[in-house]
Amino acid sequence: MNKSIFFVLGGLLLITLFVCPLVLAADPGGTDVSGQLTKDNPIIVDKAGKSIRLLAEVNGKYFFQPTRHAVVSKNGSNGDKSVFGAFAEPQAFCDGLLQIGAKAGENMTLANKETTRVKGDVLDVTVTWPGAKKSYTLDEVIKDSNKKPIVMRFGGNLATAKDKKTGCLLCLDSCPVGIVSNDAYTYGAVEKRKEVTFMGNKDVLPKDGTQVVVTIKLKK
Amino acid sequence: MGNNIRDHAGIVIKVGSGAAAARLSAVGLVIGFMITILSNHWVWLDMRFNSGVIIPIFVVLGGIIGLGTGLSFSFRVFLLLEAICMAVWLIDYGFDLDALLVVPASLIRDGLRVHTLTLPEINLGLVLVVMAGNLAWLPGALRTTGKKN
Repeated sequence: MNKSIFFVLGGLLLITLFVCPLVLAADPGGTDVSGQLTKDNPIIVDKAGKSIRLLAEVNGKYFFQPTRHAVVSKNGSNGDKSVFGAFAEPQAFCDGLLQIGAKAGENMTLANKETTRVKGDVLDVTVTWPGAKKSYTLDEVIKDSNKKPIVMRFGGNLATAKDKKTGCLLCLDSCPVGIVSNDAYTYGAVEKRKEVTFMGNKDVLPKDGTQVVVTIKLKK
Repeated sequence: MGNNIRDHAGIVIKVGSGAAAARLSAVGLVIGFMITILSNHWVWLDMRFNSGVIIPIFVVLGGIIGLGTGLSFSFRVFLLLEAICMAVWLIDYGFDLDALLVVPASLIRDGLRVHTLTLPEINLGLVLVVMAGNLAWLPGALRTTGKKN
């Protein structure tokens, strides 16, 4: 047999020996970061406090390149495209918002998305994690290149969200699919018209893979 | 170097070696990585397409072509490709060590959908694969040295 094949097989064996233990040592899941939130119980609805807490993970990729997604369910087709990957589904999130008394705008459609800003109740969104100095606002953890404040509104859109299966929970421009989205921009501001770029703030957020708690509270 | 195998029907099939497969896989890794970096700048595409999948596709494609044809590149060409890849990276991300530790690994993670691995674990695997890719030229280099002696 050719001597070179021994080299290649030796190299592959070496890689396998190194990589296999890494695969076996992977996170078994179910880490508790807030006393109650876990991967199996990723959403808590506090009706009295009119707030929802979501368990999510930081995606470090978007510290260095732009995205139009703040929080997306990891099971959705856009699960890798957001600053925070959540473990909750759009249905549970939408139900939770209705339970705390939030009213959905339901004014966004696939036809009007580029000319319409999302309506619905305004929501305060904060993010914290073990070891964080405080709860940070979305404006502090996601950088808008225009420095415009992010105004998250409960758009609704559950039927479209279930149809598209993107997993979108909180989008950074007005969206006909995301349950909640930012009324500061219309759809296409990020991808098409390049009016703005959004990136995770690496100076504030913890490293990639850190579990965080995203709190969405109905603004009075 | 490839070997020619004659089957019973008299058809000649050129078969490449494992070394050629490893070399072209390494070339595929570098080219795939370059394309992925460049495509990441197109936000519209990045939001719709998992560009990380380009890397494993090019690695496997390179391996199949190398195994099937024995086609190979000189080490100098491979080094030139690596240098171009590095230049593309530096133009896009600059000398940002944090970006270097996060972006390539996250592209691999998304491409292979290995979300149970951490970025440092993927980086370790990536370093080993790149080293193995460079070492794939070693047997040829040793043979050349042997002939000279």
